[in-house]
Amino acid sequence: MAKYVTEEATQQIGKVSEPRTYEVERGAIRRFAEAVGDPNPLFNDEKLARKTHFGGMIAPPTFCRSLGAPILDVKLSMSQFRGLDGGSDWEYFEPIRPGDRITVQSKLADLRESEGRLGPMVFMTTEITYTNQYGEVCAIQRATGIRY
Amino acid sequence: MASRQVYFEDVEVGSEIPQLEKEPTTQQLVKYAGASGDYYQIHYDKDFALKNNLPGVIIHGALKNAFLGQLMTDFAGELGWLRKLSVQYRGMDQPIARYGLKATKAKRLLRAVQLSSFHPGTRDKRTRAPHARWMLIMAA
Repeated sequence: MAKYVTEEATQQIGKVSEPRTYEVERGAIRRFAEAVGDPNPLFNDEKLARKTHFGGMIAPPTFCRSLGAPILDVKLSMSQFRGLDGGSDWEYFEPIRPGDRITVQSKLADLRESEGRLGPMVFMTTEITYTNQYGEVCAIQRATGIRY
Repeated sequence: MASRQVYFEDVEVGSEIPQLEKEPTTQQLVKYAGASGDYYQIHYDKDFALKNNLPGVIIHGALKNAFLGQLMTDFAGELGWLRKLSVQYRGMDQPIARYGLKATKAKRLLRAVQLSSFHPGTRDKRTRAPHARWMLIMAA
């Protein structure tokens, strides 16, 4: 075991990416909701959303997926590998609204290895933080990528 | 948002969450690729997918995640707030997959509701659909 996740590799845990900032466009929120097939007026209709306690349109829960997270350069002794998306744990604190400037930063949170159906698999957990222009953390996504 | 607002007091262990039906097509995968910026070819290029030992193009895990988000924000209503959402992908699905997203086992927590879900539409298949746990903070 621990063929790829060497002690040297685990020293990369905690590694942080450069921040990247995006402006959230109203049309991008609508297009995302349309692609998912979500007609909720909160994500589609400014006029109706204004009447809610949110006071206007907000982004749907997984809209953050469209705000590309900086990819961490994690060194593993795998010369060739395939990648899989293993899943995500989300926490939501503040709504993301049209016109917001969201800063996205990635941190290597965990590196694990196990023997699976497809042979040795490396599980890489990246903690992605989405912060608005007021310095409020809107969401945190802990995304698990699988390399095999 | 069309249905009536659900409050914390309305939810008990075993409460049924209204089901959400989804049947993602290859066209929806292309739309999702464009909207999310995930252009990994396994989601729209059949030859590429076959070369990668896949049975054909596969549905973005993140799209299934988005469906779960929709299930929960529909249930929470405009006064609710989705506080946590967790998803693990247990298998790969090809379009057109049919999902009946349904939540079961509502657990009462202090001013919060924790639920777990399954997709009965894909239960009998070898690939198991994503499993999710989440917590909803409902409006007071």
